[in-house]
Amino acid sequence: MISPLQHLVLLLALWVPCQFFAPRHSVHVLAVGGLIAAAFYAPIAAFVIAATILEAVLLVIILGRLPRQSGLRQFGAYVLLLNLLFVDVHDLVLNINVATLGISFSTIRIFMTAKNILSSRKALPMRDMYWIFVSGFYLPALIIGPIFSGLDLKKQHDAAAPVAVSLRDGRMVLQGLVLSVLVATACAIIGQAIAPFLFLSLFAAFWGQSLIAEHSSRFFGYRLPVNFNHPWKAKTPQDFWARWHKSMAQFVLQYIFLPLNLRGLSPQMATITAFVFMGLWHNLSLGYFVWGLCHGVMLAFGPKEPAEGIRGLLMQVGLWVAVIGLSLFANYGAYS
Amino acid sequence: MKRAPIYLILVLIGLAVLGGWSRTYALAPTVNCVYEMADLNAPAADVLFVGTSRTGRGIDPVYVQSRLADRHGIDATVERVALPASYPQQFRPFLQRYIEHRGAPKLVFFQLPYNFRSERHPEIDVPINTPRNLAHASLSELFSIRRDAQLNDYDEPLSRIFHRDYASIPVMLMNRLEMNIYAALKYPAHLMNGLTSECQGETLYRHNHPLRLYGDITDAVTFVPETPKRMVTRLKEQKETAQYMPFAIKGPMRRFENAQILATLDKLKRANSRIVLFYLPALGESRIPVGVEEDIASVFQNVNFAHPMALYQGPLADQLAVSFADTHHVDNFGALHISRYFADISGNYLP
Repeated sequence: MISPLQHLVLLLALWVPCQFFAPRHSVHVLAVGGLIAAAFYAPIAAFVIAATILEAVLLVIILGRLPRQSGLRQFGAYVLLLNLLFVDVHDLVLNINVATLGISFSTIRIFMTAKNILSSRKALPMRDMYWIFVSGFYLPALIIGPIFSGLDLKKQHDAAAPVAVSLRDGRMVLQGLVLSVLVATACAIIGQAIAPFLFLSLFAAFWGQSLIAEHSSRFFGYRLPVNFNHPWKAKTPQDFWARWHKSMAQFVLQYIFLPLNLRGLSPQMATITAFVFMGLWHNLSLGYFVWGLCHGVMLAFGPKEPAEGIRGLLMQVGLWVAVIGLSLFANYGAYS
Repeated sequence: MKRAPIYLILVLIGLAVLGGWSRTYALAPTVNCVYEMADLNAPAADVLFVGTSRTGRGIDPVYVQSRLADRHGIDATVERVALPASYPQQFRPFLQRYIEHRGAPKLVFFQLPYNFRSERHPEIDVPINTPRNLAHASLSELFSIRRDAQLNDYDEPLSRIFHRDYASIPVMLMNRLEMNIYAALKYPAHLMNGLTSECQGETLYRHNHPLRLYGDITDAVTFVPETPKRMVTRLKEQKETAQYMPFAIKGPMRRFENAQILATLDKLKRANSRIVLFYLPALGESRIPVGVEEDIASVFQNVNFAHPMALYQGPLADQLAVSFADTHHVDNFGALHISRYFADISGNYLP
């Protein structure tokens, strides 16, 4: 696994050569750098991501010949999501435990990119295939996301906007490092005695690494989606998922919820199904199945608007008890 | 503020240099103390015990030294180095440093640090594990350990270089860089503590093991566990269920371990130390399997081999609670007998 500090060191090491050519080309350096880093840190994971990219390219070529309205063209790319199973079953198949670095995030990004290319109204743009590769190995997002389509990077590449690094970006990267290393470690130690600190440890690690990814990418002139937006302010389940792991929440709503809902599944059932998928994406376990089911039920049937006064406070407390409890159950419970 | 990354790069380089110089690694005292022992401003010990946690729990150097003097009239200094976990490569950098700073011990008892726990496959023969016992090794030592490393073959379908814990050379370098940066962050606390070492006196010489159970045994010890019945029950269960990997010294599953042990022994031989390989038993073992001693003699030629297994056919045979603390480590009572055994045979090997 690439630690947050090593991730930052790799990014800074690539920043130096990127200063010698036009900023928009740094995306290529970061993709190739991500491939090389993955090959050194986790060769099997690099192979799986590369195989998923190849699979996506073939699917786009094959499905792209079908009419845009064709169901197969619309949904054929979902087969790519089966590659996520590798993370959970590889030790049964390979009989050894390998590092699965970034496979979960890369597979989703590759899928999104392939899906976006297939949704194109124009003739199949073959040059866009390259962005499937970039989405798979883009170094800032390789380890822990966020989730986005390679075509988002292409748009920024083609726009060739000047790099605008602010002091805040440097501060946010350092904040991410402190969160993911110091705070997460301290919370994990305290969490041995006080369980909710284990949740804080997970949050600090995830938030910190997301900050490193988002703001280090800006060093190169590329903006990534923001994963966390003051989640502690959330008052309803809906509000929570608009603030917590936003890129993944948006992905399941757009690519799981919407297709199901548009095909007649009730919004509640589509929501629950989408979040069960998200739970199993985290880990193929009963614990995460229950986690996804409960979050889906909370989102589908829970309050949509925040309440005022003491009722609002109680709702907020209830929300966080559920969030922390489900996280502990899924990650550390008997069925994790 | 396009220069923000430059500032970050400069800060990280500065921290890495400071950490590489201060070596204030956030490690267990045992690892730091082992290297401090190698750097001591004192001549080499006459007798040096080198081994894993079994040695740390089983052999008390102070007791061995006093028994050598009292019972055998031999005035020899005795030291012990015990690093937990059976990493055969962990001792090379330490012994190299010991010999360079303090000279060669006259007699080295070197525990055969084979892995006997199948669950340890994933970690045991990945050549480089810097955050553990190779933290203080130099880069050249790390490269030396990697060079020509033939990994153990556990008959798995994929090469071990694909395993989760295997560190390629670039990853090894990144791990070292990261350790140095964290060491620099720890340095201010080190300064505020007045630069005092945690490895002094008894901690250094006797208790340089995180499990500070032993080191103060005497001949008068009649150790009785607090809850002998429960302990005996637990140990009996452990004894019945314990499964150890075979010695298989000539098998492909020991290829890497043998190569690393041989390289270490070569260093000691070149320094003119006399070497005695030894083995300490696990719970339930009472004899060395047939053929193993011949295999040891064949793989590690011209090196003596000693083991206290006879004790487990005699005085310690049925005394579970007063000879073992767990499956792999003896308790105080067992340590007394084992230390006594080694004190009594040391005279035979000392020049």
